[in-house]
Amino acid sequence: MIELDRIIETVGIDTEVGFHINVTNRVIDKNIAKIYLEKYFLEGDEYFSQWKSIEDSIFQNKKEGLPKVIFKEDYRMIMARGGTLFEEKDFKVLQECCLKMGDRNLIVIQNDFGGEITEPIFRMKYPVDISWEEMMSGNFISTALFEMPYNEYFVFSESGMWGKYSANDYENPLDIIGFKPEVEFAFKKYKEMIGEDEDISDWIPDEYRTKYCKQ
Amino acid sequence: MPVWRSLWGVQWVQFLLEHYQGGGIGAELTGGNFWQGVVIGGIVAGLNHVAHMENHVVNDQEDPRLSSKIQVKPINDGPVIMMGGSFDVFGVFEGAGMYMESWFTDKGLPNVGKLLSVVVSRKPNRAFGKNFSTENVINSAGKLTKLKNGVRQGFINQNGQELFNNMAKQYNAKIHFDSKKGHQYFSSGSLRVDFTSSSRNIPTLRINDGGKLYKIRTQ
Repeated sequence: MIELDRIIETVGIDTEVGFHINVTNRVIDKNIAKIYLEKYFLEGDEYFSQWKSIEDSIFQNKKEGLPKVIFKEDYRMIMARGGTLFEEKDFKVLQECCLKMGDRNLIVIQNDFGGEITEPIFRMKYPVDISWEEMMSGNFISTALFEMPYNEYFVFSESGMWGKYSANDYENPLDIIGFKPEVEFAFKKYKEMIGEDEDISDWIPDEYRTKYCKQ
Repeated sequence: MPVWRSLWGVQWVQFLLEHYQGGGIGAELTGGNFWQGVVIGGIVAGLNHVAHMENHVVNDQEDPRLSSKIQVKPINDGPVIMMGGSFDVFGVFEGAGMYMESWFTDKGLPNVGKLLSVVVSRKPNRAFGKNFSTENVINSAGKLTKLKNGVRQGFINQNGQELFNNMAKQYNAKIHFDSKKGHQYFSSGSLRVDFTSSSRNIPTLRINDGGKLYKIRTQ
């Protein structure tokens, strides 16, 4: 709970987030934010005992981030234009993918780049069938998580079969989905959604291009 | 007379060619304010050499960010220099002159001699004059890229700190230091501008203009 309180205090006094809320005619409400965090914040004990090992089995080069390859070798990758963690459309498509795979939880971990970010980082655990409206109901917490274009996040589930890296602060922001071949079927709709987007081939870091994007 | 296009006109191209032949192109281009932001691609290669580089990425020692943007692709049995983002590429050919990459793209390979070098330069932004309003700064970033959630991103070939300071001055706004995040910001009415180095040390202006979010990368 101490960690949770620190998150509320830190994000609550993040003047950049606060400004965005005010300028978009909303009101900062610490109580709503606290209730949201009590429901969805992933405490350190649970994170380290249950989730960190899964995260580490999917992702590598976490300290450096892009342009280093962020997924381990046995993951295939698809990429889309990034900028923020989720918007409604891509969240709902990813949610469909998760439901097809039988996932129960959606874990969101902010990248602290090997401890470079010293303020408390976001660690969230959502039920996979959560509605978009509920995701966005956390007042300034949801604003910081889903609307601000600078934090970077790892997203995964208990299966360890897939992950998403949201490289929002990379020079050309990218969303990268990595998945094992066994669950490729679940990402068909996600691939179709990306196909509708304009070409981002110029944005793909060379190491990804040469190793993973030959098709 | 070779066919070429140049953003800066005949004098610049002639200047480049004359100085390149004298071996002093790098030193001339990187010196002086006028050439600030101009970088020279790290290759000086013969045509045959380049032709064998499929999807070869040219590394530039002065600006590693170029490495993901420059590709040499063989098209019609010859090399074509392809560029993306905020950069222009010029090929310098022996006895022929300088060709901008779009010429190759449009017409295929010119019938010219050996490729002597590739010159890479930032695309110039529109001039600011003395107007550092948000509108002028955003317009100067050229065509903005759409990111998720309506965020727009662009590049301005200027010193980020100076640009930020000038914007604050334009709005008579006091610059604050966000000690939690370690960066500067100012606000004025429905405008807030944060000047950060991003997680990868790219100086960036994060502009919130009445709820519309912009990321302007700078030098």
